[in-house]
Amino acid sequence: MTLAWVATDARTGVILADLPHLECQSVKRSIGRYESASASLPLPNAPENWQLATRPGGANLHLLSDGVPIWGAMVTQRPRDLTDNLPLALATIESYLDRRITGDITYTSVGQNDIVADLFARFVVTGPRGGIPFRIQYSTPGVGALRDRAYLRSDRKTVYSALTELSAVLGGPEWTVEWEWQHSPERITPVLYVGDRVGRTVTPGLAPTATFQAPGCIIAAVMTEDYSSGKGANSVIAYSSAAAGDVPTSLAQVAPDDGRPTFEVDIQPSTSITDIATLTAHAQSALASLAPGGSALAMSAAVESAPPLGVDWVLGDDVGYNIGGLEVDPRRTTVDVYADTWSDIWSDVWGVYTGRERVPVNPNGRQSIPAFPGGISGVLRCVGWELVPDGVQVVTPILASIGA
Amino acid sequence: MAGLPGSIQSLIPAGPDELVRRMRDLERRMDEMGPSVAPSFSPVIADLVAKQITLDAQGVTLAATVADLAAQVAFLGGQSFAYTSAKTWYLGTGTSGTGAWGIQAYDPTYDDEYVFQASSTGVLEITISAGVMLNNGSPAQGSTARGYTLSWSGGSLAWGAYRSAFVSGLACGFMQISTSASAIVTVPSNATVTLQTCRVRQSPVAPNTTWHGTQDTTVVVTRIGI
Repeated sequence: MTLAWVATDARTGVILADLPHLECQSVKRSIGRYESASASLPLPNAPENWQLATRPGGANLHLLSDGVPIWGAMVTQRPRDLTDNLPLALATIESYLDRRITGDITYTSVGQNDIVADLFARFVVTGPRGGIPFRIQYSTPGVGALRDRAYLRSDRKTVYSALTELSAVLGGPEWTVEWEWQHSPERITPVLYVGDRVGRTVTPGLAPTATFQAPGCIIAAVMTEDYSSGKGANSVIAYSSAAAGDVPTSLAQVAPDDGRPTFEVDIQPSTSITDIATLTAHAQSALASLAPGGSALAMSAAVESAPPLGVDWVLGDDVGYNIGGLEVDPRRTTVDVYADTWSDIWSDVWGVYTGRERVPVNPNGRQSIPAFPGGISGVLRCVGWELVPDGVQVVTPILASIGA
Repeated sequence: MAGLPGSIQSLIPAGPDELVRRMRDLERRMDEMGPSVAPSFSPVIADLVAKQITLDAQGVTLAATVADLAAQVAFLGGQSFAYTSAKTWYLGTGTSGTGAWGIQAYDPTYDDEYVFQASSTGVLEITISAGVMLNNGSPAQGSTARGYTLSWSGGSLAWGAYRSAFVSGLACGFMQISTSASAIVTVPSNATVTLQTCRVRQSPVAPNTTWHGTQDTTVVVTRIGI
């Protein structure tokens, strides 16, 4: 997997410069949210137009994997000093959605995918000084569940906030941004994928296209089970702050008894929801995920031996994992074995052991990873990934079980 | 967003930028909170504005009332609940049949006088009396005045009696008192009418004990015929 950096114009996607010497410790992506990163451009090797190619708010930097854009972010800060290095603060393009405000628009019984597409068309792609040329792609057929939503410019709600609220409702849309290379002229532009889910579902009866294994390509793995505040609860209420003189509140949604005492959480999915049914849907969605508690599996793998990112798996895919389990134990030990009566007498009298032999210590095998006795394996959603592009390239898919 | 509890975003383990992300979440929440909370206060604010307008109007009324009261107090202080001026009684000249002496037509008009009895009840006494002395005080009748019944509208009025008009709820201002009476007294031809009086005065108002503005007017009765 050959990685390369290019800079593009934020408003058009037109390629501005190659940045072969750009240094970046890691890049990260997640479903439905932006990620930040930092990079450094050695100026002695920088292209002539480096100021344009790294202009905060005006340029995007893209990481290409074998020529395919797998990550892109906008330059947000460029603190210059007296050194030869130009530090850059980056934020994935989803952060731009947090810089655009929704206007006055009401949707009644409109498909949630259509709502998202329309919000982009109205408030992201265009603007007094232009926008970002997003292409909208539904990741699942149809317009999605019908929703009622009303947005007001006076609410000061960003598009990012609107999408976050909409995706958090029960059955709400998932969304993420990928990049596509277009030609004539050469440019890299974002594609918003929105639908009931993003990424591919594993075909029943078949293994996922990408499976990470340890022992194998995995060099590190952390499985986090979390029932801390915000990660686990079995009684959920959703509320808002919109109605005059009243706080719209859903009924408490309570999970089946699993042996835990009551853990309550009140969530405020948005400040502008007045419909109790919408709040209830939010509470139900949150409960489905919170009731079992958070469970995330981060596996780091060497890029050269891992399933290739962008080919075998992308954000949102079902990804397999197989960690631990029994393995052959090469250790052996010597044990007395019964040969025959003569041999036994011989060894007893003369101390010569003819009835001994080397046998495996664990004939059934040993635990390859003690922290996971018996091993764990299965399929989880890839909700994020992290890539270390410099040096020994390491990719870390972040897998999680999505309850809703 | 670090993630609404239960959302996909919340499933992602916290990274090094978690604090920055949470701060941005709080900023965003605060930005959105104001406009959404504002409608909750709008009825309260509208009510407060309405009450303020009412209070302002009441303040104007109170100021006007205070000014009016101040003027009245100043005025009353100068008036001391009393008649401020005396007016002359105007007595009509009566005519009578032959041989009759006395007051035949009596039409005093007492007007444009101030009556100051704010929020009190007083007695405005109008006494009309006519005294007739016969024979110039000759022994037959002596000098004792004799009373004769005076004719009074609504009834007769005995000599020395009076009719009082009770007025209540008097406000400061002008009051016109108009009285009329007539008396026909038949006397001997040698009789001499010596005294007639008409009195108007205002009853005292506590703590005052003095009648105010007593005005007695001698009525000149003309012999109008024998």
